[in-house]
Amino acid sequence: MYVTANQTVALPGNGHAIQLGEDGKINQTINPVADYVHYLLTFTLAPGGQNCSTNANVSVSAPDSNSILSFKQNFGKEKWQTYGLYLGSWEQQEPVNLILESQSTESDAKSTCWPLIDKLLLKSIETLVPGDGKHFSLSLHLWAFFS
Amino acid sequence: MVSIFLFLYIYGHFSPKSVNNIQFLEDLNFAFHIITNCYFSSCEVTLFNLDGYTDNLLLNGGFEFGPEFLSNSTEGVLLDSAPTPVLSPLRQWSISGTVKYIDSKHYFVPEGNAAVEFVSGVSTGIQAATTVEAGSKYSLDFTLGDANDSCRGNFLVGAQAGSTAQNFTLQSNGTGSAKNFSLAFKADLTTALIGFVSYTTTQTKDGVFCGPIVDNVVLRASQGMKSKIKWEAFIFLLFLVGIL
Repeated sequence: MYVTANQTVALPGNGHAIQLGEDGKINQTINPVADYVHYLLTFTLAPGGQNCSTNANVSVSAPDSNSILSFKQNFGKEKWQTYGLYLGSWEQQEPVNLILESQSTESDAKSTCWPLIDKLLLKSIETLVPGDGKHFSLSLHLWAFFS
Repeated sequence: MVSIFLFLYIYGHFSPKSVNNIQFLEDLNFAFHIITNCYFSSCEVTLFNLDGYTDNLLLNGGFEFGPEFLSNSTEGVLLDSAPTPVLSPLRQWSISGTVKYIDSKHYFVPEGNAAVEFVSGVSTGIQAATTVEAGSKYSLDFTLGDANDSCRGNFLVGAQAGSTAQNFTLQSNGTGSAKNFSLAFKADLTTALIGFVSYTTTQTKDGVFCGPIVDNVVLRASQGMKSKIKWEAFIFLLFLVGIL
């Protein structure tokens, strides 16, 4: 469901978001830009309502990784929170599928608030190696001939 | 009469990127720290820059490598527990509890663009591992503080380096502060665990969970060749580069 911020729904920048209802799922295919690159996902999660007995979780999955996130109360001043996740590292040839879906533990769907998803940012980062950035090594070969 | 022919073969490699000559000379100007290992007639020279992070044995000690920040968000990015440093959004650090990845645009960050705030109270922490030389002495330098997010209270943070652990206290009035600390230790294994853990739970007066920040974690060998500055070698090298 496509949602716009209003009096009961708070979103970053008061924009729009996607609400993942019961069995709601969104996915996108990513083509890895290079080998040995790690992908990190940033996204914003907001509870989709106020009068509910439970907030449904969000499952984020990519090849080789699956994380389940629940909205954390009191970890910020806003009614939404931004989360960071490690997704994985894949070879360049294979397109990978990123899936976000709602997950409810409660059987009564009516008393569940379904999560709002917004501001998805994907970052690629190279494998860090000793000496990254500010350090380099230089090899100097010196031969001296005496005559 | 002795005539000396010098044949120079220099190659610099800035991992992971290669570099051109101009950058090389700029970096050489900032270099103050040279290690030479000479065997037979071949020398290997390692240069370090002035900024002091260069000989850091830890990867991502300044927490600059992590998930993207929302540019207009004042909330930071929450990172849930990550059992291994390899599969962690905070690159090279495992996470226990929940930490907040904070940016210098919206928070007080002691160094660089990012730092880590321990927000989920007692036993929230981060841990990294690095290869060391058993029997050698090392020093772990780090900065603790508060992120200027109205987090008032007394923080108690445990720092671990190898088999050495020490607690550090910090009084925060929530307006942004940083204090440098140091922990010396002797490695007893070839891998040293470096970790920080919060022993306190703090909330702002609005009920938002918050805590100490850690940044600028630097592990250095405190003895041996790495601590010696060989100026003669440095001047000699500059002279050689001048000839080129």
